[in-house]
Amino acid sequence: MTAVGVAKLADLVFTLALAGLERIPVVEKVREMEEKGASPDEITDALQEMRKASEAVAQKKVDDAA
Amino acid sequence: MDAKTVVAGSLRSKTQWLGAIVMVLGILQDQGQLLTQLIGPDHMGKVMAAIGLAFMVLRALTTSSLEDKVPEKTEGGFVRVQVLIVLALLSIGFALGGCGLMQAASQPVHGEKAVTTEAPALRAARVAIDEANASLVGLNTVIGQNVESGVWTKAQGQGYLDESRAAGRRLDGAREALRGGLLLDAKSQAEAVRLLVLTLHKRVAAEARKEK
Repeated sequence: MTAVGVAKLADLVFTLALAGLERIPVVEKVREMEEKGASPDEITDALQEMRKASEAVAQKKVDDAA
Repeated sequence: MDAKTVVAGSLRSKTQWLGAIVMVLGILQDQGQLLTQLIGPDHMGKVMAAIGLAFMVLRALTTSSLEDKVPEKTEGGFVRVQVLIVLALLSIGFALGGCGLMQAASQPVHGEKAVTTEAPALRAARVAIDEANASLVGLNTVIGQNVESGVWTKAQGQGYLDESRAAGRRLDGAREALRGGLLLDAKSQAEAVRLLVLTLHKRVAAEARKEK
């Protein structure tokens, strides 16, 4: 296996680890809603709102950056 | 043939190397569904077939035994590098497998015990939308963190965020299609967004690694 191949694999592993870490709160929130008996539509809407909220938070951080 | 000869011969065997790579990928698949996330569950069978074909081709090319591959005087440098690479790959696989991040990466948004009375097609479209939304939340969080911590410039962060927003708008379209009963349309749009997000994640990670 070449060094490039190793680097690509390491990159994929890093990517998935990064993505996994940030998904944890989202998954926890959905599980909590499921336990409380929320309907599928409510969960889908909640996830959509979480995404929009995360866009707003990220935008604020970008705007505040020097 | 003693163990030392087997090891020395294996390090010079393409078939053995392919076996080692498949073993590492298997560990990652087991822990973090790496292959499933990369190529999608619909193509796993093709990957398995390709691996089988690769082994068949290598076996056809094989002309010598492991014992014959070992020179009388062992050449050290190149083999030692290869051993280190294999050990590094195995370490990554086992370490990430055990630390919980990989499990989280593969954890579906909906629990296995989630009760639903929805028809399979409706459920599939909804799950695709929910997964894509969750992935975008993760991406937006990473973008915000990298800009806040000064890893990225304002322009870099804004560029990634614009792409994330565009993906989000497509996802809103998928949600509307779901409401309108266009299940196939909703599912395909959401899956396209998920693929887009995975590509973006890879670029974000590559960028983050470069900045380290």
